Amino acid sequence: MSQEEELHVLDDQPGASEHVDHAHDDHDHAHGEHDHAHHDHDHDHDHGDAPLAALPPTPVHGYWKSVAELEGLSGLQTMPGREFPLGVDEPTKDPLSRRNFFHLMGASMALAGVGACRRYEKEEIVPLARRPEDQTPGITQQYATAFELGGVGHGLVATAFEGRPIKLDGNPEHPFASGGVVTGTERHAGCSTFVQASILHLYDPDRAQSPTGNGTGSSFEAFRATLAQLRSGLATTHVLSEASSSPTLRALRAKLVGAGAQWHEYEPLSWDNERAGMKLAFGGAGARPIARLDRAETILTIDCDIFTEHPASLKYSRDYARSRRQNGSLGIGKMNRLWSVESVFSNTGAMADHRLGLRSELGLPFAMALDAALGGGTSPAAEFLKEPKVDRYLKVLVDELKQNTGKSVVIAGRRQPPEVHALVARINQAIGAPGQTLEYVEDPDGERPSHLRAIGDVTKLMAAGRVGTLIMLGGNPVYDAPADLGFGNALKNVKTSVHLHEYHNETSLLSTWHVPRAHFLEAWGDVRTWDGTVSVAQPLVAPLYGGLSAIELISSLLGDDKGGQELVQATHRDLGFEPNWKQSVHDGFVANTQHPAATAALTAFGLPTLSPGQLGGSLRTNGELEVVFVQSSFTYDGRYANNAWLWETPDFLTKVTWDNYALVGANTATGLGLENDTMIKVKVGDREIELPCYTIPGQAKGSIGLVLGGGRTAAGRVGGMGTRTVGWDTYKVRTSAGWDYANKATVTATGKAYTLANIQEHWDIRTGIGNRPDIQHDATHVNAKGIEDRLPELIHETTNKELTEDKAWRAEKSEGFFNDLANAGTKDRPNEGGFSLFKEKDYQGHRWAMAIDLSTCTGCNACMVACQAENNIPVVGRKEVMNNREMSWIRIDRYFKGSIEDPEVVHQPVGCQHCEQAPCEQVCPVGATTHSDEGLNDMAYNRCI
Amino acid sequence: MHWTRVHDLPDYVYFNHSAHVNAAVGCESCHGRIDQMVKVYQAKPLTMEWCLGCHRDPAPFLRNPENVTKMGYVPAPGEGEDIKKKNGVNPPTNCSTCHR
Repeated sequence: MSQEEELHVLDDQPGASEHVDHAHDDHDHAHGEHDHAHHDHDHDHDHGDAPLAALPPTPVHGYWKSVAELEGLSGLQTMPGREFPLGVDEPTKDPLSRRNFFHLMGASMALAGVGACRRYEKEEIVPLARRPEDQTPGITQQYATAFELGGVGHGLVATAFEGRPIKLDGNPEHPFASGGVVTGTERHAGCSTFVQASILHLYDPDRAQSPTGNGTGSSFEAFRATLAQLRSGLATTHVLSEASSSPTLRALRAKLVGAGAQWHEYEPLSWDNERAGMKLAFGGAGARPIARLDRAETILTIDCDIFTEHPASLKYSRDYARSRRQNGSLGIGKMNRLWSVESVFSNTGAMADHRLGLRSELGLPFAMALDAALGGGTSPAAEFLKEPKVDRYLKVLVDELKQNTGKSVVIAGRRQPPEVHALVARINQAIGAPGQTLEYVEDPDGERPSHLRAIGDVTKLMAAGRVGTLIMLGGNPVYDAPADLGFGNALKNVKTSVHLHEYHNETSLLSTWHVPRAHFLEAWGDVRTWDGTVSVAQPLVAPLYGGLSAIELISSLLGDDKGGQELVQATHRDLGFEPNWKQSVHDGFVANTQHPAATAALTAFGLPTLSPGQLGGSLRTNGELEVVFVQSSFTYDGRYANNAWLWETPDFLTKVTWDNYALVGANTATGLGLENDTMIKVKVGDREIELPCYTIPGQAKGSIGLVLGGGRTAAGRVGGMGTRTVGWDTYKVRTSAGWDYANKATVTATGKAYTLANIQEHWDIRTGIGNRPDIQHDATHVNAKGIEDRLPELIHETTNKELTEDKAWRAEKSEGFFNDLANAGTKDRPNEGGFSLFKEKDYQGHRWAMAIDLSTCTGCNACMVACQAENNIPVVGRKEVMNNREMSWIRIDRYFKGSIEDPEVVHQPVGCQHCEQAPCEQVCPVGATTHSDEGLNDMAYNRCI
Repeated sequence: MHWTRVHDLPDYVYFNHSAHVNAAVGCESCHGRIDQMVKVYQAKPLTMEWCLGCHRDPAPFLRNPENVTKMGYVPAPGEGEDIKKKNGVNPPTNCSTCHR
């Protein structure tokens, strides 16, 4: 690889600014000042021990979708000349057939109401003589409520139709993560895929419907009868709770601890490293940093996905969008610039203007070097820092941060050790972030031991037989606790264990009692969003199966036996919000209850000695590879495993559905002889796991990403039962010592083929037209050339500078409207229009249009799940996805650009186009999709078969 | 008191009374001569084709607004056409008008 390509990340990176979607300020120094002719060739990674195969050339037209395409369409040639893949028209022999699958998708059916399938029968009605307040039959109601995931609250608005909750969205009035990004969107609020999909669980027939005691079906009465006995043993009672921000649960916790019990909190995806780092940096109880991205001109993330993983990701996404537009929060003509240093390719890396792929382990020496350059400690003598690409990246970054003092911010991620977070605090201080682009608030639970420590402590006590009663509030530690602890075995030493969970999962199977937990739309509760705003969660329905909430269970255990509403209201009163109870329930939050600002004065802190790996170069040999644990876009940490909507929403970067896998960098894979769609063996310490390999461009060299959340054995009919699992249990190789990332991993190919249900190459425009073996797919061929010719027409790119100075650009280059072209051509080109097969219809009155700002789309997938929830689009399952039968109405295209080593990513959400002459309307056998007189492509849901 | 719903549309049909009353469609156009029924029955088919019949040509079923509730009222010749023009009654015939 030439020096030129080596330096791609910066030299070409004005390349990033060539997109509309990556356009930004023209910082001249970023790509002009540094002469790269003198870089030392010794550090060129080509000289490493995992030799790179000759990398395929970048296609002439620049954009590519997958490694297969880049390598000469080898993946596509499996279906030469066919529009549809082989076997697609043959009946399925899979036991999980399509018909069965619909059977399994009971939740979706329950949500949609199967009533529409039969002739309606005689109905008796009772007049609403005492009509419930604000209820009009047939009109939907909206209620504010709240949801919690991993101890972080989100304010929501739930829509109910005749008493049945049907849709969840962000609460537009909530002070956190709401409000307009552009004029006209003031009534919008952020929402995630998990929020959107969580409503499906309410209707999931696989949810536990009654308590289980000692492995057999039991009743709530029987469970309640044992509470008195449990209460007498509070001195040896331990509570293992999933993370919760609930003030009510906190109050109950204090009572229970007062009565002699002990409380532990565990979350498999935890942000405790940040808490520990803040304690290091500031001493005392630490603090919680919250960035103000709407004010930031330069944003650096270190191994952190601020758009889908960070607890404040909904706020960060909105704020980022505000400063990412030409007339946004930074003022006219200014756009932010995002730098990302990360191991696994994340949504943030995909958005970044400058991305540097580095193993997670190297986060620490990188942060030390950055700190040193900004006047902190000393820079480590790490070899990788001298590599031309890293060296240059760091130099330009430091220049920019120095130039943008008070207008920059650095954010570190969950996987990075506390020291990196402490260094980041010091760096932020040096670049003048606090008070400007960064706020510190008090840590609400500063004294709590870290999640990792807590699970270790409680498991040790359990194993030693010192736990009389273990109450588990949610969670699934048997599945997701660090593998070395042996939580499942330790659980057998506990006299009485009670597991409160919506599902009868792996942990429930080993517990004395399993008690069904109420869905959050079935129970009163309260949560705090990441900034601390107290948010009230009101139920929309009575528990469908009579479940309990965590606060109700603890209250019963204490002998108070209060209802959820009473408990939440009592907390509200104790915190002094009582006069506004009705207002709080109505709004869904209590105004001005953010955590108070923290005084964050830096203290001196020590740094650990760097390991040989951290001091080495960026290349690793097999046996010293790094393994990084990645949040699943399908199941979060495994908890949403029974959610078919999420499983069938393709991961933004890999486009895989219904699976989890090992993410291997394209060059690492070549070096190790690993192939896409084969099984590989990953050995971490003395634990190993076999799972499919997904080769992804841009993954840091020597780093393997293991996606968590698959391989559930007691999730439900959708997510895996017994031996029929979905995905692979990567927790098996996640230990306490290598919880965030592990080193010294060995990866070997097994040679076994395993096809991932990847939608990437589906519906490729070339496949039907002439993708035949006798035609060479090269740049001279008509197909490749056709694409190349067409691209400038389809893709308009510019820089922020050009856009600001040359107003004509955005303009006013008029393009012929379809109708004009089709019928009469344009003014300049009369009679040059194409011909339509159909008679064009003339529309009067309203017409509709929708624009998507490609410069702010982060590929978070929330729109895909929202569309599924809103339109109740069926899921088809893994087998049928592989037959190209996925049915989603929206997709988000993801294109790579540039080299396979350091690609840039371009996003393109493709919604329904509402075609004037929609092909789906022509072929619909039942006339379910039709055109309205406003030109929209409408769907008569009851007709769809 | 429990009532039996006589004029029952399936759940997947959206029907708005106010739109029809405000457009000055007489009650009896859909419900028949309620005043002459001993026991109420469904006088009209309420099928989709029947609905569409009126949506395609509403004029014969429109009357002066004050006579909407009047049973057995016979509109004067041209009355429906006038109301249609005056009130701008142009019922849509898209699927999504009722199936939404």
